[in-house]
Amino acid sequence: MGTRYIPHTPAEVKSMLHEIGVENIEALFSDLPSEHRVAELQLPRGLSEQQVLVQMKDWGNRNINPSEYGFFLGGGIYRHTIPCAISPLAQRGEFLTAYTPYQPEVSQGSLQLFFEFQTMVSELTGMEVANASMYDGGTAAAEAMLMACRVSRKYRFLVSSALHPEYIQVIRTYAIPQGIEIEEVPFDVHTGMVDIKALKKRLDDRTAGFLVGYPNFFGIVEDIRSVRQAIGDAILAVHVNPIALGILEAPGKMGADIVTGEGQPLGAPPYLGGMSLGLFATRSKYIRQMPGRVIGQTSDVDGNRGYVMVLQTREQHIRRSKATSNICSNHAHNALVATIFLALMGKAGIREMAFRSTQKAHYLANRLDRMERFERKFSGPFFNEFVFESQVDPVDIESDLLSQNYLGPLVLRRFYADPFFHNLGMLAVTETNPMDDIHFLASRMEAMV
Amino acid sequence: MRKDDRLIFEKSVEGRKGFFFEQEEIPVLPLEEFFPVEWIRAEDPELPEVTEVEVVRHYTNLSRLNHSVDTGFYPLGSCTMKYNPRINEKVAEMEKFSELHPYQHPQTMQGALDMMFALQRSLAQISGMDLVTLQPAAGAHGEYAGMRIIRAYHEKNGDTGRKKVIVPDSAHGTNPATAVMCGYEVVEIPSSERGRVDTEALKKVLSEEVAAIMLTNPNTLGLFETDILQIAQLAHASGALLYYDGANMNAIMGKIRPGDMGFDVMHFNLHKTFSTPHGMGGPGSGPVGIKAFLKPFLPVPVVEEDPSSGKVVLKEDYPDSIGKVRTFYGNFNVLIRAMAYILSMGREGLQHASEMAVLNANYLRVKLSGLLQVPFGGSCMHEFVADGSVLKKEGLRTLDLAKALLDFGVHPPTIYFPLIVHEALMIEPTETESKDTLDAFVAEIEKILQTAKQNPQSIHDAPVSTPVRRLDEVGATRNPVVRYHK
Repeated sequence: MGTRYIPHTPAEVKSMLHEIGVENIEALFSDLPSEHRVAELQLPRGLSEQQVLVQMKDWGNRNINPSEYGFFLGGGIYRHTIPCAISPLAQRGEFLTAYTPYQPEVSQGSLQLFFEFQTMVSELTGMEVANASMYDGGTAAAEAMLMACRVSRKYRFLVSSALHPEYIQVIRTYAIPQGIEIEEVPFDVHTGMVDIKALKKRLDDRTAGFLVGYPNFFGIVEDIRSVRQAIGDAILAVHVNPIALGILEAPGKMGADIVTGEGQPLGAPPYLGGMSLGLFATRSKYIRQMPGRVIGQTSDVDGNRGYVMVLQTREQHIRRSKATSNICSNHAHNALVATIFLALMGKAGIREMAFRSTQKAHYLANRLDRMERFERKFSGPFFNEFVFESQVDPVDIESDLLSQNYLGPLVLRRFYADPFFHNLGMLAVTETNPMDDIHFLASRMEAMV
Repeated sequence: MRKDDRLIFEKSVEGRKGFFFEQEEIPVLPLEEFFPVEWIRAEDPELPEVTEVEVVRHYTNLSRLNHSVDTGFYPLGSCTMKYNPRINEKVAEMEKFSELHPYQHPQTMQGALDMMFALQRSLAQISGMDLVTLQPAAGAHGEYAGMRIIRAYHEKNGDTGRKKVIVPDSAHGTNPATAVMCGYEVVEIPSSERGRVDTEALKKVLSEEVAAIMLTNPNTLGLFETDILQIAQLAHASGALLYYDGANMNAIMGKIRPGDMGFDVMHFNLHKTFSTPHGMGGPGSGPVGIKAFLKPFLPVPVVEEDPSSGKVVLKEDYPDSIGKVRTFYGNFNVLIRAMAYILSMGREGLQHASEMAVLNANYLRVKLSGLLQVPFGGSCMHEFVADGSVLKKEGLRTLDLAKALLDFGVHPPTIYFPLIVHEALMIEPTETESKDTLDAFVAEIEKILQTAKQNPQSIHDAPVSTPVRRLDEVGATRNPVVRYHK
C-alpha cells in the first residue's frame, strides 16, 4: 500500500468508526450519488521511494543537464550565481511547511522575512513600498496594468512592443475581460529603444499609463527619464531585471509610478521558468491600490516589535468581489530565496554581479561585431543580453552550438512573425559564464559558414 | 520573548561580505563606455552587509519562530495542511530538472515534457476531466484561467449576454474576486438550512444571463452537495457551465470525480491535495481540468502528444486560446513534487488518503460536538465547521480560543470563515494526523473551555508562550510601516 504517510492502524480505524457511530468507512460517503461512484482510479499502484526515484531519474535522463553546458540563453530567465547557503536555509521545514501567516504570533519568521524582502525590493527599485510577491514577471506586469487603470479610472493602456512577448500576451489576457484596450508602442528599429515620438502620438486623455522593460526584451536599456517626460501625467510602469539594478539607476529615482520585475535571477535556478517570482513596488500614495499581500510593522501587547499582514481589506478573503485582485497564494518561498540571496550578496555583491555580467556581455558583443557574418542589431545601450543579425541562419547556429554542449542563441523568430526578426539571434551572458566559454563561443561562431 | 529581534539590516556592518566572486581576468571597460553617465546607479541600494554565518544564524533563528506542519498540528480548514513527504524535495533538487531553461530546444528537455504530460493524464484520471493544463500558478490563478475558458466558450458561441456568475455565500473569497476579474457580475445565493446550495434559490437566479456557477464540493462547511446532479442539470439546461473549485478535492479522491458529477471546468490545488509544501503562502500550483469541448480555449502552449511522432510537444497553435495567464509552462518545481506524490500514493493510496481524511474529520466532529456547537449536523467530509459562540457567556470569542491554542503548540483552525457561521472554526485535520494527535487536540480544547469558565482573563491574554503576543493589527494598517529605513 502506498500509504506510508498515513498513520492509522486497522484497530484505530475501528475504534474511530465506533466513536463516530458508523459501521464502516463507506458510511461516511453515503451523501455521494451512488450512480457516479468510482470503482477504482485507473492509475498505477503506489511505488516505493526507490521506485519513484527511478521513474524521476528516467524522466530526468531524457533531459540534458544544462549545468554541464555553456549557457547563453536568456530572454527573461537567467543563470546567475546561487550561493550554497540558500538551499539548506530555504529548505528548513519551518519555512517550507508553514502557510500564509494568518496567526502572526506563530508566524514571525515568515512575516519578518517578508518585511525584509519588501525593504530589499523597495531599495533595489527605488520605490517607497513593495508587496510580498506575485507569481511571476508576466502576472506582475499585468497587475501593474490593471492597477494603473484602477488608479486613473481610464481604460486604455500602452505597452512597449520591445517588452517580453510573453508579458504582452499575459497583459492582453488580463485586459480583455476588463474592457481595457492595449496598444503596443513600436520600438525604434535602429536603437531597439521605445520610439518616443510614436509614444507621444499614442497618448491621449483616455490613456491610463505605459509599461516599458528595463532592460527590454532585447537587452536594451531604455531612457526612462525621456519616457517619463514624454508621457506627462500618465502612470509609468517599469518592468525590471533586478540584477541590472546593481549598476543601472533605480526606476524610482527617474519617475516610475510602478515597478514590476521577474525575480528569478535572485537566487533561483532557471527551472524551466517555473521558479518565478513576481516583484511589485509602487509609491506609497498608491499602497491601497496595490495587489497582493503586504506586511507591516507593529507591536504586541507587551510593546515588542512584531509584524502582521496589513491592508487586508484590499484582499479577496475580506473584500471578495471588490478586492483589488483575486490573488491569494503568492510566491512566498521564492521570495525567501531572493531575500537570503540579497542578504548574502549585499550591496557590493549585486553590483559585482551586474558589473561582471555587463562586461562579459559587451566583450562577446564586440567580438561578434568584428566578424563578417554577424552584426549587433541595435545601437541602444545594453545590459547583459544583445541581439545580433546573422548571415548564418540562427537556427543553424543553435544546432551547431548544441552539438558542442552550448545553449543559445535564442532564435527571435520563434516569437515574431515579422520578417524583420528572421535572422536575429540573442545571446545572454552573466557572471557565471567563464571567459573560456565566451572565447569558445566566439571562435565557434567565427568559424561558421 | 525574542532575545534578538533585529532585522538583517540592523546587523549590517559596512564592508562585510557574504559572498566572494572568483578571481578572474575579465576585460573591463569603464561603465561610461556602455551607458550615459546619468543612467548609472548613483547610490547603492541599502542591502545588508553581513557574512554568511550571520545570514545562516539570522534565517535559522527566524525559521524557529514559525509554526509549520513539520513542527506541529495544523488543522487549518480549507488549506489541507497535510504532511509534505521529503522525497518530493529530493526530486525537486535534481539538476536535470532545476537547470532547464524554458527556451531550450524541446529535444533537450523531452523528459520534462513527458513528466508534465504524465501529470496531466494522472490529474485527468483522478478528476474525471478530459484534459488538463498545468500553467496556472496557484488556486486563484487556476480559477482565473478556468473562468476565462468559460468566457471564451460563450463568446465563441456568440452567447454574449451572459454577464453573471453565481456563487454560494459559503464560497471561498477567491471565487467572487475571480469572477469580477473575468468581467462578470457576481450573484450570491444563500445556503439552505442544511448548509447546502438552496436549489430553489438557484432556480430563481438562473437565466440566460448566467455564464457559470462556481461551486466547491464538498463545500466550505465540509458538506457534500447532495443535489449536485440536479444542480448540474439546472445549470446546463440554462446554458451555463459548472465550475469546480478543487480546494476540497482531498475529500473525494477515488470516491467520486468532479467530471462525473457534471462539472465542466475545475482547478486543482497541488499544494493542498497533492502534498506540495505551502511555503509560507506559495508557490502553489493550480492546474485546470476541462471537458473536451473546451479544448480550443486552453492557455498556450498546450503540452500534448503529437499524433504523427507520438512525442510530447509544446503546441502554440490554438487560435481560440485564452492566451497566456503567466509566462512559460507553470510552476515546474511544484509539478514535479506533485508527480512524485501521485506515484508514491498510487490509486489505492490516494483513495485511502481521502478515506482517512474524512474519518479524521468525522472523529473530531463527534468528539468536539460535546464541547462546541457544530451547526450543521450529520456526517461531514474532510473538514467541518464548529461555532465558538459558547464562549460568549465568558465574554470571549472564537478568536480567543484560537489564540489560546497557540500556547499548546497547535495552529488554530481557520476562523471566521465561512462567513455564514458567525464564530466559525473551520477544522481540517487531514489524513496524515494520527488518532493521538486528534485526541490531544480535543483535550486541549476542553482544557481551554474549562479555563475560560474559571479564569476568562487568562484566555483573553493568550498567547503567552509565543515569540510575540497579540499584535496591534488595526494600528499597523492605519499607519502602515512596510519597510525598514536606516
